[in-house]
Amino acid sequence: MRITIDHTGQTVTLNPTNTARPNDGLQRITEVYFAKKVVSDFGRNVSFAKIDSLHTQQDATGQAIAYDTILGKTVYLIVVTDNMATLSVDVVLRPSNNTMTGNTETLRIMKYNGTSRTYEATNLLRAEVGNFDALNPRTGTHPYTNTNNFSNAAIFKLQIRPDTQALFNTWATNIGNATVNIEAVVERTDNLPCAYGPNSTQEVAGAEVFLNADTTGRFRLVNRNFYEVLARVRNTANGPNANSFTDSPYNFFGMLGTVRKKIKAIVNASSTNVVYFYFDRYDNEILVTTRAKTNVMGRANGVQLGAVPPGHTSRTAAPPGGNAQFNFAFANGSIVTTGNHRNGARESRFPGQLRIVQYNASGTQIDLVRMPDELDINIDNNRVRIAYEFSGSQRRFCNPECFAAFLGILAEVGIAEVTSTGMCFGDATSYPSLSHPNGDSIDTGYLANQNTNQQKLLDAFIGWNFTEVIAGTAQQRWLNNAHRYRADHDNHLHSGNFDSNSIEPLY
Amino acid sequence: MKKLLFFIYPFLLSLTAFSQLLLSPIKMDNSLQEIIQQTNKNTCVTLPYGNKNLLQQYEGTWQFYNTSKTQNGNEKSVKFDSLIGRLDGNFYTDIDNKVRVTGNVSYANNIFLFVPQFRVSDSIKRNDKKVEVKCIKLFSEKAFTTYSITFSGNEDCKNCEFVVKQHQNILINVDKENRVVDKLLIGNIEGNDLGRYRLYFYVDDKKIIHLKDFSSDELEDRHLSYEQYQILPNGIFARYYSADGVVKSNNENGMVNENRRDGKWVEKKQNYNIDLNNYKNFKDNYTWLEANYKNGIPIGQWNYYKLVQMYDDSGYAIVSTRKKGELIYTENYINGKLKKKSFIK
Repeated sequence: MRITIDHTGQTVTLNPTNTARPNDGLQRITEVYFAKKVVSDFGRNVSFAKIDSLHTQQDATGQAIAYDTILGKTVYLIVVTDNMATLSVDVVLRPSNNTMTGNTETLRIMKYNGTSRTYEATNLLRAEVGNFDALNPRTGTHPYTNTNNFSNAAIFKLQIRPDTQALFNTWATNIGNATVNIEAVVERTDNLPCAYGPNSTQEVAGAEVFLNADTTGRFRLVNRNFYEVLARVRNTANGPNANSFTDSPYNFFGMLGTVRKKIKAIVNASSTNVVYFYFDRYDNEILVTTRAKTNVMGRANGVQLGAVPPGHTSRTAAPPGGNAQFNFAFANGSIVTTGNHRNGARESRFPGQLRIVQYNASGTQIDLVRMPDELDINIDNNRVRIAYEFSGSQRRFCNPECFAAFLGILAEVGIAEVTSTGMCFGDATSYPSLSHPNGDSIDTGYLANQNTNQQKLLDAFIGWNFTEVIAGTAQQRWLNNAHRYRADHDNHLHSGNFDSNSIEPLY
Repeated sequence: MKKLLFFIYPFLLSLTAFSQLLLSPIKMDNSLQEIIQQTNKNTCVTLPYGNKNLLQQYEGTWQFYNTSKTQNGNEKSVKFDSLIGRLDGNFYTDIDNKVRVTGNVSYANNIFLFVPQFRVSDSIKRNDKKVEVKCIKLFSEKAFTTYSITFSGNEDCKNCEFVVKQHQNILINVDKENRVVDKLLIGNIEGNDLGRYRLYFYVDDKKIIHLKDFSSDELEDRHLSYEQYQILPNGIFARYYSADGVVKSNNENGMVNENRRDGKWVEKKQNYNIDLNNYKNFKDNYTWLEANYKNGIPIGQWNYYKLVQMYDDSGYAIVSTRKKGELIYTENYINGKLKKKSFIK
């Protein structure tokens, strides 16, 4: 029994008397697929890479991805046709089971309107074959010179999410850790007969369902937390304008003061995974890494003690490799860490002694992600380079937002030599550092013999909304633009007080 | 062990936190002499030497963060950070001064120059590596010439995340026979980004040497002490006081005559000749010194006692609990020359 799409976007049973006969030059919908946009040739050429269960993705480190899209994430839907130039097609999406919405009815989701340049909630997705408004950037028209390759396609830019936060949360909760398959129902807008599939020899009336079988591919939707980090374009590589930028044309985020935001967060309590996407200057999507998120008690700045106080409730070994050795937990929530960091002979507190630090509970729960031990993403021979490694520090947990910003910074500077001297441990403490609990500041060692890049790195931390960047007063005293200069930053650049207002929310 | 150390460095003793009196003029080794000779071809620096911000009033402690991490320091902290930044800037600019003559010297052959504050690596101690020193001439007097010598070092770092680095600036007075008459540590930055000790200098146009030292960790800065020095006509560094009369502070007390120490003096300070490895029951290296001076020159017997003191919960010494402990060692002076040093303990 065939179905059709009505004007409200619902699918209804087709009256069998409407069956049409085939004719010459079949008008045909040959293929319907979800895709991500791939831009090449310095932004001039566009293509679409299929994503479904038969066309799986990998992250930038080669790790296989077991889903095709995430609730709220931007994705393209391509409807390929024959002999249908200037005709319009209708599509509705629906889940293959009840998990997400409680039914399998048409989803009301967000579609990009290339004229208003905004996302609009709709049941019915409608686009004209050969119209490329869906590719329009924030202003003006798209820059692509090869759109003739897609003159027979209708292109949709979508986010599979509802139009309210409340409903989003419901969908997210319902999905939980499950995967929901999304099917596409497609029909000519004029409801006239059409052939379906590349090998079809007959135009038939009514709509066709795509992506509804394992053999033809499933489009698998999951719920995750994710961050989208968007490149900005440096106006000149070096010289006086090296620290001036133009926003990515495909940055649709709002403004923070006079500066456009560069990071978008899609977060919900129903997932403990955080996925980090980077979009290069041409709007190519790169899945950088997926991290597990934990929620732990925040910590106040550390206080040095002369000895571990009596009465601890547990004693556990600290992660090996750094200076921390044991964590003593106390009933009031404080953690006292011992280790092999010896204070200087002339320090004012406990000179010459092995440092013991008490980190009291702040009373506020915080999110942390464990950063990869290292990253070295190199795409197209350094066109995109996102790389860092750690010094000897085992403090490798970070505030999720700060890590998103760090990725943007690393990509902007685009060098291999950035070394982080650490953030915090998984319990939010930071031995032997007193001042780095909670992983909300990022320390980097100074680059050896790379003054220009060091200045760019400092400027990038500020440009990516770290509002307390502290440089040293010794060998790096030539560095400009730091918020403060302190002698206790002669060996590392401190970037703290990340401004969360610089993150674009989903709603 | 302590006596062995004494034999190795028989020419050293600690007068105060900063000054190091040499018992008799020390002959420099050839490499250091050559650097001095090269330096003599250059003109002297113009006094004052150092950064005048040192003379600003620094208060006891100031916090980097006011009450929480989200505050970008408080007004006091910002002000002092800025001042310290200028002192730091001057410190390193002076080291980088291209007029300085650079050369490499042996640590072992010039040990009088380096000990006890220089924290050298094992490779330098073993003489596998030389110490790079940079020399500049400050001024010449009848009997001696004063030079500033700077050098840097890293302590060996075994499984540590934060290497201790050190930069020092030492004044030496060299007599006409190319012998070092006395030396004074005037600049010292040591530590890492978790904690630092810093000693800064300012030599005014009357050749009075102003020294202030500070300690800091990531959260707090602390001004420790302020001392002034003069150079006596024989080339010995001696404490300078701007007014005569009784001096009494937490750390020292005694009489001043004609801007010099005179008579009995008591000092309660860290003593870097006390190696805590040799005194396992000592909690710190503070000593209670009973000294004698005549016109600024050490005379008679000096007694070094352990300074016993209690600490508060934060590890700070409580000044009011200080008292004289057991006698550790004595020194006997005749007219400024150390004649005998005896360890009691």
